[in-house]
Amino acid sequence: MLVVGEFYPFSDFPMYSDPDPGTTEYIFLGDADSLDEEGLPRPIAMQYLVGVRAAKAKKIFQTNLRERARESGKSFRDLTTTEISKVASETLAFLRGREQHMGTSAEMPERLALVLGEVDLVLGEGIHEKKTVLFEEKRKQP
Amino acid sequence: MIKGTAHERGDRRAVPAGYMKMMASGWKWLCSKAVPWDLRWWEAALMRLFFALVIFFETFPPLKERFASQPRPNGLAEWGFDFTFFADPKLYGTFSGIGIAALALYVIGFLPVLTLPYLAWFSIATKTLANSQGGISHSYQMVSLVLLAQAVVTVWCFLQALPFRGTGDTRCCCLPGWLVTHLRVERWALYYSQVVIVACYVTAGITKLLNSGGMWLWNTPYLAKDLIKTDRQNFYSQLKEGGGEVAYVAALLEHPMLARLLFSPGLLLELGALCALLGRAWGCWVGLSLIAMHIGIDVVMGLNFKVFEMTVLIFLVNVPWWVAYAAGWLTRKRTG
Repeated sequence: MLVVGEFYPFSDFPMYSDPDPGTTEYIFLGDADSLDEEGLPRPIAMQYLVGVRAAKAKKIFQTNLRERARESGKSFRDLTTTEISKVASETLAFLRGREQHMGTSAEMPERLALVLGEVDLVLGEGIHEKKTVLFEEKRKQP
Repeated sequence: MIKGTAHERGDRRAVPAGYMKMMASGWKWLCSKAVPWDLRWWEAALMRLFFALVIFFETFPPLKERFASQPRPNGLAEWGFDFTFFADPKLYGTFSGIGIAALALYVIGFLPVLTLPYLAWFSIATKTLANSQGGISHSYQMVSLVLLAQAVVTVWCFLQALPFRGTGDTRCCCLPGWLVTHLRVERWALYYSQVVIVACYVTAGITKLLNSGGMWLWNTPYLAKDLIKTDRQNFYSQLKEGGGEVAYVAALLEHPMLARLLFSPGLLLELGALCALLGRAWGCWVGLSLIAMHIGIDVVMGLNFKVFEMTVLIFLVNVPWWVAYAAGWLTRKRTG
């Protein structure tokens, strides 16, 4: 399984295998037209509405980022903000497309936003958490 | 902005030759010590029943996600197999209906040469589709692998008519192996089920050492940020529990040595899970320890591996045999 890696049903089970200092991320879906007290898109229950949990959505986003890095011959860390934003828009489009399969179109917000949460840990200093909007769907033309 | 871990970035390390050599010698030693259990027919029947219940309740529910594409193929999908037909509720219903019939036959030990390959295929195919969306989940690998191991053993024994010696059981031998499950074949099926279960844990342990450059245990205090991440991911999925202060984070940061001490048994247990193959008692203790580890992970990190726990309980701990053993011991004690 170590040699084969991720080839279902085989796996090298890499979850939490590399605890290191620095940042870890999560992503979630929000309603771009309804902001919370922090001024960020109000989150939606993505598991029920698009059938994808936040953990899986992050893995999808990370896989897309890796693919983009590979295509442009860069390392994952060297992707530009524009490239990350492009990948975010593709991930958001994929998640938006899930509403048809889930039959939840009526309950979905008109405009979705993909939000990135970053958890930064420095031993001795503590944990800092911040959230930024990666991509928002455009307003539909009347 | 986006950093990701080495694993998330796809920075995989090659498996050093030393590790491979160590594993090969460990495997050789184990092969000389590990033997299939002297399984009784009623134990085998109960194992089949309990495992069928796990498969039915945990892996059979309709794919609510209805994935209609395979944008990032994984497993057999990488080789061009298209499993998107499972998105059709009618087709999925048909396949899962056949699966329920196969499970019923599996429980009574009928037509194992057909039922086990079907169940293995169904398990692998449905989960391959779910894992071909870009994100790989690690919840069901063990069930699929156990089914695959049992299917391979059953078909192999049927095709090769392996000469089993020394097991001394003649039950059902009047009926052909393709029609009913032979206990001698089940002993090997159980043995290889245990091998794949153990392999999952040992692999996870070695991966931790490889991906962290051998520093996993020392770096465990940094898991504090993963506790927060997991809490947020659970919260933003359903908007129910979480999203605020996360338990244990402060303790991990204030007492890093305590964190290392607390996490070390888990890593040692994963690496030493091979010992579960050394007999019933080893299987039981290692199995119970693994379940305790999962419960601990669930409490601290909010990560649930219920299917793994139940599979370990069935094939390693094997409660019915210990109940029968204790009952026999008590009876012998009473009757002097």
